[in-house]
Amino acid sequence: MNLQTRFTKALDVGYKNFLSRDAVKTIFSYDNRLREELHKECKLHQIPYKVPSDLMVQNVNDPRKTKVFNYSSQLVNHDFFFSGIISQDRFSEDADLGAVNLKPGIDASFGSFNELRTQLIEVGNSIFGDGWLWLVYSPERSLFSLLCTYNASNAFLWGTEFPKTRTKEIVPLLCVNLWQYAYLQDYGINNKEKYISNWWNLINWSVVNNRFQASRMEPL
Amino acid sequence: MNFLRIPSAFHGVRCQSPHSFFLQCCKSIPSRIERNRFRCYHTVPEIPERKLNPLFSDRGVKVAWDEHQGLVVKSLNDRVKGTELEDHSIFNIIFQTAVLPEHAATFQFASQAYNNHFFFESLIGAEKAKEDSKTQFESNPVIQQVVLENFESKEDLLSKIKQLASNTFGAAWIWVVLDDYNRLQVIRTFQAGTPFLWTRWQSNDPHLVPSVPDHSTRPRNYSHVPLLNLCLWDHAYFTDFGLFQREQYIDTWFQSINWSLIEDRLKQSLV
Repeated sequence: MNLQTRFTKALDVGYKNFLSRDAVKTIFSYDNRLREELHKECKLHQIPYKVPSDLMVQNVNDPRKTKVFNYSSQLVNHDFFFSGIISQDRFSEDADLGAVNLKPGIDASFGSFNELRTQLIEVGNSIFGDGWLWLVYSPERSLFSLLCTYNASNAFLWGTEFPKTRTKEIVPLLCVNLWQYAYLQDYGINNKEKYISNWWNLINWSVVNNRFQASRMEPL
Repeated sequence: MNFLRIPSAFHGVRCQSPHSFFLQCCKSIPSRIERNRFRCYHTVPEIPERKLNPLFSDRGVKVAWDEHQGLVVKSLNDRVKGTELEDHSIFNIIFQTAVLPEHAATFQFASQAYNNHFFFESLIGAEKAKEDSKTQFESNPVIQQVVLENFESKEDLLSKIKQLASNTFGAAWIWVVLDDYNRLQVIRTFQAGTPFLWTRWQSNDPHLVPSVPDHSTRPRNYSHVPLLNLCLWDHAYFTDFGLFQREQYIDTWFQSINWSLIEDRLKQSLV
């Protein structure tokens, strides 16, 4: 389902104090365009069109299919990014409940939520070029940490040799889009810090918590 | 006895080629010399041409040059201040920070400063190009000969560049370089990679980096000499063209090249 259908309210009003309506429009139309290009690429390589996350996983190490991988990975990242932001027509109270649940883990890994915020801003600011910044959880070490990926890489496939949708190694919980097109329109080329700190205020912690809890459930 | 130390502000010092090590020093020493003044090691230089329509509008130049280069130079200054690299030229910094991972960020800023300056130096606006026939491709015999030896035509060179660009996702630079046998090649470097060092081409798509070795890391002493480059970072074409209008941007860029400058670079680099 494309972003426009999922996040219609955002297209009307934008994200308050984060992304203006025009910026959202740019990003969503970029997303649509990626989808079209992905369809074209699939036809070119004669592979059946599937959900982007499947396409991404199936084409991860194939050098002939870099475009398929890049486009589908970028679509997956977009989805992950926007679904972690508080939607405009839901209250933010349940978002804070999620934070309560995550607090012990975050405090153990970073010290406090404030410290996490500071680190997010610093690390995000020091990414040079286009990329994504992820908050991930490592079940082996029971620790949360930050991960940067460049261009269209994502945390789902980090450290995997072969296709796996969810790795046991790390679990992505949250991401922020640090490609230039995301913040260029509203913030300008030098204000990535402001962009990240505004994003921090809109994180939907209940979604993050759900993702975290889901990873800890034992498979049946 | 107190000596007044004259701050040495290198105005965007850059080398034209590794063979000639030609340094451009600043043209003016700051008029007020203060004893405890913070030394600005690198500054944003003036580009030869600011009227770059239709490639960049005024706003486009401001974003892609003033703001971006300002940020890059400031970050570089912050990182080299107090270290032994303080007084070195950008070119030297690139070579000295290319190897160790802890210098990676410094390398990126130095390399990006160089790449961006290299890019903007070679540009000329459409009006100026019409007036000044020296900047035309046909008026510069050496570069014309080299291009025609390696590609069927100037248009063929452009189509090779566009082909590589269409396979590129994310922030990158495309270079036309001269190799050790004086052949022209079109290469690509991601993020802020540089063509000067094999190990820093950053030529592989970043998502392949963990699992696929970069075959370009061969132990050779010499490197390729860049003649021309193309900026494929979003900020370059976002303002004036739009995210998916890269092809038009590349076409317009090819019309806006100052070929007499490329000819000079080539002449200086031919061994």
